[in-house]
Amino acid sequence: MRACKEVQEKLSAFIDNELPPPEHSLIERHLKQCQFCTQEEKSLRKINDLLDSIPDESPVPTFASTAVQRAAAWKRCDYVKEYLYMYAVAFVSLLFKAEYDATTKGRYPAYRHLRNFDDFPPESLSGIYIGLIREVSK
Amino acid sequence: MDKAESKIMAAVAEGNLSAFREIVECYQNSLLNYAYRYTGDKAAAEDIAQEVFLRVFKTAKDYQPLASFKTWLFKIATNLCLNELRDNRLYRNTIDIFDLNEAGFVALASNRFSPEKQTEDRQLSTILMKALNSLPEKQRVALLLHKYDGFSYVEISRMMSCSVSAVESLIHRARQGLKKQMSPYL
Repeated sequence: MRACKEVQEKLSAFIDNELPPPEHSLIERHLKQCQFCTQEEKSLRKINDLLDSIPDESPVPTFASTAVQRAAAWKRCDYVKEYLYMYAVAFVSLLFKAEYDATTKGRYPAYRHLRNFDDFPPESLSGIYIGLIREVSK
Repeated sequence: MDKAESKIMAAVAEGNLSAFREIVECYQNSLLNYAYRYTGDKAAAEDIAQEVFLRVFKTAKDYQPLASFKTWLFKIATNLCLNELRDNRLYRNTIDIFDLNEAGFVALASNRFSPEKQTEDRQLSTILMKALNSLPEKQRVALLLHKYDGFSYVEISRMMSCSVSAVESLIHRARQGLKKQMSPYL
């Protein structure tokens, strides 16, 4: 025979039919003999009945339309973000390729020869950037 | 998951809005009521349910039809309830059962079968909602998922990423907590 405390801890699962059949039968047998545990079981069942008394709420009639509109808005944003990302990646790739081509084709010295900012060829992106910084800081 | 839902979700993953509407219309009631019972506030519940559906749309591409769609949907809802609401405390309803007027509480308990029963039933539901709201979050979630949405302990354990015995214990403690608070009505 199980101790009442042990049985009571399993009572919720018993009420919900969530126990394996052997354990369920054990508790059923215990309840037939123990008034205290039967009382506890009854009060838990009453709680269940009380929970059934909470009425359901209905969504507002525009609920589904609002959800679809929000999804559509997100979809539009997602496409824009996707295209922006694609264009950004393409732009950066082109920049790198242009710099690489210019360096490897000898239009200006390889970066390993650069020692200071003035070594950047004036027409390279880095040269233009440093030129701009200098203009601004004048 | 049934095949129809699997097909619908595949369409949603491709951005099909009418398939998405089908999902919303099918689950809006259960999801809204789950959030409503969790927060005790209808407006907040609608916001949460809307957010859950938007997440379904956003993450439809990642959906794997291995488990039931309903389980997946409620897992999103549960995570949202447990994480976002707790972190932001936006909708956390700080109702305390002990704030109730004691005289009203006793009167209500003693007049359960009077002609004003309908009004009293509403009051009783309100008190019960307050009692539900005062339960610790995990206990509340486990109880709601089992009681109102029919999930088994195993399914709940997957949703809440814990063991079945932990779910068993959460639901039991939730009922014990309610029993303690609702003792005048039992």
